[in-house]
This record gives sequence, structure tokens and C-alpha cells, in this order.
Amino acid sequence: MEKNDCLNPEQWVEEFSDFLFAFAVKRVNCREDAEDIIQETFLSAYKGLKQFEGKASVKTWLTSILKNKIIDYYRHKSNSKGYDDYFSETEESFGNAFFNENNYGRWKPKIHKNYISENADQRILNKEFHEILEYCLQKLPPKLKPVFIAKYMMDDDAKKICKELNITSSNYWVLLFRSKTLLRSCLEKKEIKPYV
Amino acid sequence: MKFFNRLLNNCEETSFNIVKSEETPLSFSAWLKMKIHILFCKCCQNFKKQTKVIDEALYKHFDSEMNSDAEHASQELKDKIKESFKKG
Repeated sequence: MEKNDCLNPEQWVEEFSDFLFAFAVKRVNCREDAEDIIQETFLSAYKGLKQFEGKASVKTWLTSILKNKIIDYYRHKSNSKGYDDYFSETEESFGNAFFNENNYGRWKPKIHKNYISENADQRILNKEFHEILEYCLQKLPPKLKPVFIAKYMMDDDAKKICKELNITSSNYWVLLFRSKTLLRSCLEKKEIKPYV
Repeated sequence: MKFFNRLLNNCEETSFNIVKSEETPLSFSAWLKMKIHILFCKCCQNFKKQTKVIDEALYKHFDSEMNSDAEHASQELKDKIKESFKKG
């Protein structure tokens, strides 16, 4: 196919804006912000048409621009002072919710229940599982979200995430640890049954 | 005695190190403490398994293109974008 045939941004809007919008809403949890991000994405694509070499599909190319816009969005929202405040406000309540501080920090709710089975391959493809996961992700404190997006959407490593979001590495580990602990607990409460 | 109590009961530190060790090597002493604790603690054994599954699920969840069809971009937004091309 001739390259110029597919370089039609107006057509792209028709074809891909629903997909990109859904992608963004899921990751920023706010329709207005998602709309702004989509506009910026298309505008960047339009201005950067020359960079599109046709190696990837248009959809993939637009998605990668979108991912960068989403990280930008979180970068603006993220600052180290905000995290320090968040930690000092929640340190105690988080610890108390999960660990018995009078007993060297033993798990408070016994977490013996094997609600996620080890052969998780099929489970991960399960649509219901992802709906519950989505629900639990929505419930996470907003402060924990940027780290999650950077790690799992961008597949960035710890060093890069700390630099991008302007957080210290020790804060990063705490944020990740809390997110996982809260998420695990939410999944348990929603009673995800072991896959058999 | 206190040392062993701390070693065997500190789930908070252990589970924190479990999460950390998925991404980066721990110091030898932290690693050893984690390993010994996990040997004796069913809860942390479970946490370790589950956090790994959650990890895989999250990669899949955030990266995949399986999106809900529930969300659509409004016509207004589409028009606005096309309009911006003309200005841009």
C-alpha cells in the first residue's frame, strides 16, 4: 500500500477515537480528563505525521502516543510533597488495618484462604476476573494510581518510575506494597473463587 | 528470644520485602530473613503466591487492548478534534 493512502487523520478520528477514549477512561477514571488527553493525542499525531513510518499499525502508533500522554497526565499530578503528606496521614491506619503492631507486625486478618489458585493462566483471561479487578482498582486511593499506571501500562522499571514521577525509591516500594496489599484484600473480599 | 519472635512474626516487613524482591535484589540479610520467615508462615506463603498472580493479571489488564465497549467518544469530541487539525 502506498504510504500516503493511510495518512488520513480525519479518518483516524472516526476509526480509532472510541477505542482510544475507552482506553484512556479506564486509566484516568475521569471522562473530562480523558477527552482532553484524546484531543492532545490526535493533535500530536497530526503534527507528527512525518514520524509515522508505517512500521506499526496506525492503531498501535496512536496507542503509544496516548500512553505517553497518560504518563504526562500523572506526572503533572505527582509530586514528592504530596506523597509525604499522604504517608504521614495514613501510616498508622494502613498498618493497623493489616498488621498487629503489638505482635511484631503479624498479619491481622489471617490470609490463609487460597482464593487465587496457582494455575492462574486461564483465570487471567477470565472476563469476570478483570471486571472485579477493575472494581478493586477504582477503590484504590488515588495517590497509589500513578505508580500502578507507570509500572503496568508502560512496563517501566523502578528507577525510571521514580524519576518520572519524582518520588524517592523508598516511597516507591511503599506505594507498590500498599497497592498490592489493598488490592489483594479487595479481591479477597469480593470472594474470587479459586479456578478449578 | 526477641530476635526469633521478630523474625517469625514480622509479616509486615516480610510481605513488603516480597513485593520489593519481585523487582530488585534484596540485601543478603533481608533476603535471608524473608526466606526463613516464609518457611514458617502460611500467610506470607500465600501472600507471595497471590501477589505474583496479581502482578501478571495487572500487566495483562493495563496493557491489553481488551477494552470495554461501554465507552464511546462523543460526536462533539470527534468534531472538536477534526477542527483542531485545521487550526494546528
